[in-house]
Amino acid sequence: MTQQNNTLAEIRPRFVVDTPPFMHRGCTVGGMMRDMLIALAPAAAAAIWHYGLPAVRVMALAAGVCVLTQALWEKLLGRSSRVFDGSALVTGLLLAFLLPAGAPWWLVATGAALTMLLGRELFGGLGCNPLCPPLVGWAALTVSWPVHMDPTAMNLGSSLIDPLIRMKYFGWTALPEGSELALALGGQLGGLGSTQVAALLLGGLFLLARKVVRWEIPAAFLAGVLALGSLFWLFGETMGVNPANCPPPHLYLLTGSTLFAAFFLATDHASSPVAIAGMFGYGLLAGCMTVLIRIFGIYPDGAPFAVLLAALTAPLLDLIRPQPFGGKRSQ
Amino acid sequence: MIDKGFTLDPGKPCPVTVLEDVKLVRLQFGERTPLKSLKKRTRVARGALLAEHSSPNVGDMHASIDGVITDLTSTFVEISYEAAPPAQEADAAKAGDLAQPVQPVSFEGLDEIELGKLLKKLGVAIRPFTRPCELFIINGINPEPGMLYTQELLDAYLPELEAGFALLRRLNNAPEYILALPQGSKASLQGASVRQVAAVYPGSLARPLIKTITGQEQTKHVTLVRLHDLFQLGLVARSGLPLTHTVSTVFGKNYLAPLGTPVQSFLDLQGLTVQPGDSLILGGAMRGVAISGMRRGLRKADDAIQLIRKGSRPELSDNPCINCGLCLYVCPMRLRPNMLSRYAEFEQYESCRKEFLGTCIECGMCGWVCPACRPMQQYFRMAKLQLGLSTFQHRLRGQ
Repeated sequence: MTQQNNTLAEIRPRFVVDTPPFMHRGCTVGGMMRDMLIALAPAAAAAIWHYGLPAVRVMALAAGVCVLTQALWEKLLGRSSRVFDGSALVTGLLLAFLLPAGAPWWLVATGAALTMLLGRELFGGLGCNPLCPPLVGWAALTVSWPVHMDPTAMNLGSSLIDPLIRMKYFGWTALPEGSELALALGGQLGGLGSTQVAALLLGGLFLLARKVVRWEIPAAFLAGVLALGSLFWLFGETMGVNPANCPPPHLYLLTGSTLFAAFFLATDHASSPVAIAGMFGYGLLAGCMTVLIRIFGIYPDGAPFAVLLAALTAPLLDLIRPQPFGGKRSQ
Repeated sequence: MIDKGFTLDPGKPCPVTVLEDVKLVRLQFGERTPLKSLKKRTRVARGALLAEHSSPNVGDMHASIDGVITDLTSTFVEISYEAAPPAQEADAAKAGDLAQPVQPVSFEGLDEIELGKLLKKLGVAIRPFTRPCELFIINGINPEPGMLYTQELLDAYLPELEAGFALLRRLNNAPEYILALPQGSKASLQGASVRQVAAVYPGSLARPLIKTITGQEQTKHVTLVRLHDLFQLGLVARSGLPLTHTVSTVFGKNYLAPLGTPVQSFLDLQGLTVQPGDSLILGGAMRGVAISGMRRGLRKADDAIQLIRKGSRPELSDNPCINCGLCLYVCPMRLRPNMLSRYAEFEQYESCRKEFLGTCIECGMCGWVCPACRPMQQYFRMAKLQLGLSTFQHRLRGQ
């Protein structure tokens, strides 16, 4: 009898037969999303400072609808729920940052649902999206309801100005003298969080320090903006471009959602390349497109569309890869 | 920047404890053929031959303690210690050959072929030592996290290592021998030039280490053995007796223990209990194999046994890849583990081959860094098995 008990004790699974490695760096998807939320917090606070309760309303609604959409979609498909990893919450916040604080509730809800469904879940969920999900939602809203997405039209009571509109239609010299500091602190109309330049820079640097996003993409993005911006600023006139449309390069960073796109949108893991050469190419392309759209395009803020366009090249850029160790002979 | 590896910290000195009073061993036959004369209740002496392998490169198996065979199956033999009865001539004759005390042999005057054959009969896996090469590297760095024995062997068992090295030089006529050591180590081995390199994982594994030392990624002309292997050769070389003991870092302490010592004995020795959900690992924490029973015995190749407590790392499961690209960044072989693992997951094994699966050394860095907690090595091992690359993999491991 005792022997039998011993045998049973031996058979009973007492520990887990698992697969190596038996160590982990410790950073999981949930942890990454927590870091993203921390990085977004300063900009969210600045948005509330500038716009008050309406900003809270838009952020809460967008995040809530995103989480709900994912939960319902997974329920519908009978999949195990991944909603608690926090990625839907982050996606919702990112979308809210692109919307004007005075956006009507139905616009926010539609945008959030489109973001999750069209941007992510239809392709298989987190990691499978070919484009940055908040940008898909944002683009759908921008082309469908341009008036409701116009920050000036939606914030008529505000004393702030939209510097992008000024620069587009009156030239960059129409900006008030010495407005750089005010612009950096978010004193401009635009997406409620995407224009909080200083706060976003703080959050972006936190993401880099926590190694949630890689430095190559934001660095290449900003380098692309500054390089092409400088080129047009210095030589725009000789190239036949109206010099009033060619602001000094730092104004590209201080206005609109350039920094937001560089640190938070272009770095979306699924839609950006993963090889180092590809990341540099992708960042440069997005940065250059931002400048080109701002100078030549009909949309005042080029950054979101630039990121969308650059993401289309990501699969191609991912083909640039180094030789494996020891050359290709192992094939 | 994400770290491309982590420092292998030897920590505090960790002297080797010699285990002599092991009462029960369980020896796995592996692919060896047990002797016909092996029966239950047979008395065996330490060093008695129990099983042979047909390959000249795989060592035979010997009893690691004096005792009586108490269990015998097609996969393992269990020997329990039992004091020898008073010697009487009639008894000795009845007991048979297996109970005869094993006499040391001499290695004098043998050529390399005869020497190799003799060492194989004494239980040494001689292949890495006899492999023709232009450069022979002895890896004096603890290869994986959880292994702490190299500095202790170089300090306390230098005579064994020197004896092993002397035999190695008779087996292999490589023009150059290099002992790779962690930076700051004062150890040396007469006849081998010392190269100090940073003790960083996965730089401590065969191919990355060869590249650090030679500067070349072509590794065919170089042979690398672990200090662990040289020490086993040294034990046989110094004593002239079959290989019955090995050194292993078990739960953070170094032991020189009989082969086949059950994992349970080490747990008892250190007063550890296994809780439900824990994992017991043979080998390093990055590449080891989880075992399912605590009666499993120590094998020749096991240079570490570790206890991984439940919750010390996130659970690995078939989560979808989020395409963050961290695995590409840490891969020492410059592969694309994100694509490889997806191909393997969806059974596109031919695409795995085109993505250079054969170059993978299974260092585990991709799984270590993966935020989606995907079982990367499991995918790669499955794909290699499907592609029949397991022999290739075996060769890489053996290096």
